[in-house]
Amino acid sequence: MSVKEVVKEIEDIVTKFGGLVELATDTAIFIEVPRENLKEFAKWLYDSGAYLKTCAGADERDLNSKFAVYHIFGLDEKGLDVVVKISGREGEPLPSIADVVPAAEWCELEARDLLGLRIQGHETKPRHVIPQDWPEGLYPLRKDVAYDYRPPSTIEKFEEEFPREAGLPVGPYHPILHEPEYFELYVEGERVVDVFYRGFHVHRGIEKLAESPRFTYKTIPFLAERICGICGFVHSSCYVLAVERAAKIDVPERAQFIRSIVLEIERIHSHLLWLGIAAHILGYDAGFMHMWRIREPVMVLAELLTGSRKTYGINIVGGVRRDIDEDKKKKVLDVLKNVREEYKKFVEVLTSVPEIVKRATGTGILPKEDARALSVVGPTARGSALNRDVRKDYPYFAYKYASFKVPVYTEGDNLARLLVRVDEVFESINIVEQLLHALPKGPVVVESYEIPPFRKAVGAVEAPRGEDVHFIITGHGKPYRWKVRAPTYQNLPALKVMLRNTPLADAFLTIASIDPCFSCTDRAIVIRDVRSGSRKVLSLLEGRKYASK
Amino acid sequence: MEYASLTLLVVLPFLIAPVYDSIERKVKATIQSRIGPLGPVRSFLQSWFDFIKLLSKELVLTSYGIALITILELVLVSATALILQIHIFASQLQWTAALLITFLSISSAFSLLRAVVLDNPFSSIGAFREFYIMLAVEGFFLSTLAIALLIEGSLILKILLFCAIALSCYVLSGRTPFDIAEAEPEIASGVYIELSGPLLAIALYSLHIKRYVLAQILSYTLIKLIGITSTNFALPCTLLLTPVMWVLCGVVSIMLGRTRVDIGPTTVMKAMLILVILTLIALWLTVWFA
Repeated sequence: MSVKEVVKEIEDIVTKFGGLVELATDTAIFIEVPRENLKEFAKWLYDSGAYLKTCAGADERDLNSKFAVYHIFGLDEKGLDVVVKISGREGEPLPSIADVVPAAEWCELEARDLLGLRIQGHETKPRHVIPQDWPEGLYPLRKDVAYDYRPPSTIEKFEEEFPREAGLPVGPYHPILHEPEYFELYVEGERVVDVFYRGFHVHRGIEKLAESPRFTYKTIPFLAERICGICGFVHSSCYVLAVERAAKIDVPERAQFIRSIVLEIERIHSHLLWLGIAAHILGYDAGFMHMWRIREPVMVLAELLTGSRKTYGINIVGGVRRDIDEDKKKKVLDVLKNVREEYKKFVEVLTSVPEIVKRATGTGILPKEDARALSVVGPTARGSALNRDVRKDYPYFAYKYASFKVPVYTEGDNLARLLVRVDEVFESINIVEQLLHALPKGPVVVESYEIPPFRKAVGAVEAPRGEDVHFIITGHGKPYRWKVRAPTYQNLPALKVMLRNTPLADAFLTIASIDPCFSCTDRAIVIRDVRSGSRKVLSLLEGRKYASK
Repeated sequence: MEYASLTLLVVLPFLIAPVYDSIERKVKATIQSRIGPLGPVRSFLQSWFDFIKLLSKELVLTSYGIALITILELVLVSATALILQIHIFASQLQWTAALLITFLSISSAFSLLRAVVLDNPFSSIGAFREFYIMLAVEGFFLSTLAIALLIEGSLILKILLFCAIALSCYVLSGRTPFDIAEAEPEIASGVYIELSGPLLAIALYSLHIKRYVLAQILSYTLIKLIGITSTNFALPCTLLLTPVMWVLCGVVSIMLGRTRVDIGPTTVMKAMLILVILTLIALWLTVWFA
């Protein structure tokens, strides 16, 4: 069935549910359905094979006096996003779809917290994103709340959110967590029986920050790139993709190739980093050191192509800021040839270390059904027999010009996720080589473009950790609403399933096996002194002084 | 002269153990493509520098009991090292062998006690893991060591005893894959989690002395296996072989990952059981044919 036929079928169904199709493009269809029919429609979509990518709440009161929730589904097999909108005035109850689509739980709770939406079934649940000391009745993503508003903080209230049972605390500071998150593991002997998770300790409201006067369409890519400290380019790529789709900007092919090449370089170094960390968690430090040694030339390549080892800053709406010349092309090909050979040799060693194989096999199992229900993404999905990869399912940039396999393993355990990443490094090296050989000539950026207001678009890019989703409603000079959904956000809820019945020793590998990136998930920026109530941005040296106080 | 050499022998483990640890770190770093302790001085003395640095850090005491146990553990491990030196120096004194085994056992118990008394879930998990390891190895280790020190047997018996002792020494030295009680990325250093500053320095120093004792036991049993019995010759050979054994254990450890509490101790116990049964058969045959 072609995309047009799918769109037609959805249009017919939407009509039956009393809704209407607002817009249909090559990549997405935008629908509004009556609130009372949302659950049934969502169930139909879900049963038809759609995955829930995320949902985004929006304060549209200055447009139509209503709040809206956009549920973004993806029909992987058709390469089509289905964005389902419901809306209601302040205080009007909005239905939840979490009971038919479990993956909706977190994003609905987030919409409730940040916009004060009355989502049925979530009214009495504890706060999800905003901290306990945030004032009642104040919703930061509403347009009438200033982007720089900071309420006074009270430390005492933080204790209220933790469970009364005594478990094994993992975090906020723990050797395997390089960012502050909190897991509480409940164990019987050395077997985990349940887990409590509390994240968002460092939520920085980047989406709100983008609404501040200092940001425009042109500067937000640099902000987006700072969402993550490892795969930031994914976020800037995803943002520009969404804006370019919304504004129908025809980006030069050479720029598309360069973006894909840099994205794959980023995937290679991210996977090598993770494989090193996995070896370290399993006590095989030689693996850790050698994997990072092999990674180093890839970081040098990133610097060669973009000017920076990390936070490249080459993405802008309409193209890229840096070209690849013949000299760079040759150097990249030479380095990747060596990296592949060294990596191949070392992977053989790594996957033959008995403790690694023994401990990764059969632990942290995520069954296919749970992976499907939670709409997990990336290597977490592909390790549980779900053949999901945005590069194949929703081709973007220059991926349609590359031939590559999507590694899928059926076991759903830690080893399966490890092997997916092992295979993907080889595939990424192949992709970079193919794209470099086929790099077309021409400009790398469009000369001019216009971005009409109140257009909607979804951008999805395959990050090293899985599908990254940005949803945009365009505004005047900057997005009216910009929603970011990082892959870790989608994979974290699956840890509850994966950790159950896992040996305690392997619980830490299991947490690491989704390659969690909490900075993507939390998005925090400002250091705040809760004792004095003051707020300032600190340099590194000042930060050290602050830490020693 | 004899007093001078005896004094040197007595002091040696306490000075040289951190040096051997520094060498192990340098060798490991080289194999892992790292630089490790920088320059010739640090290559030999880095662990001493670390020890001095830790002594200068602030002491955070969660209880006075833990301080007392940590210090007592060092005293007992040191006593074990001294007795071992005396035994090698005067192996004809059989009571030193009995005393050595007793002190090995008591110092292990104190090491376990240090982890148990801490009111921290990670330390408790580490303590239980340490307990499983000791349960799997300690009894076999002490009994095979006693036989090796006190009975002269056939070559097969000596080989079996050496294998059992070598395996035990490696396991008890707390290196991967058997570092499950510490397991830094898993249980945040487990048995060491509540130690800081000078107390951590003492605990780590105890570990160095313990590793010295185990490496020396390994060297000494190997010397006995080879058939060197003369004290004048066995002593220097043991002293020269000890750093080799120490570094060898370090090299083995970097080729392996960490085991799990339900896998490692069970596997070791099975291996030890097989070795001990074979040893007993060899011992019985030795007695039968004697």
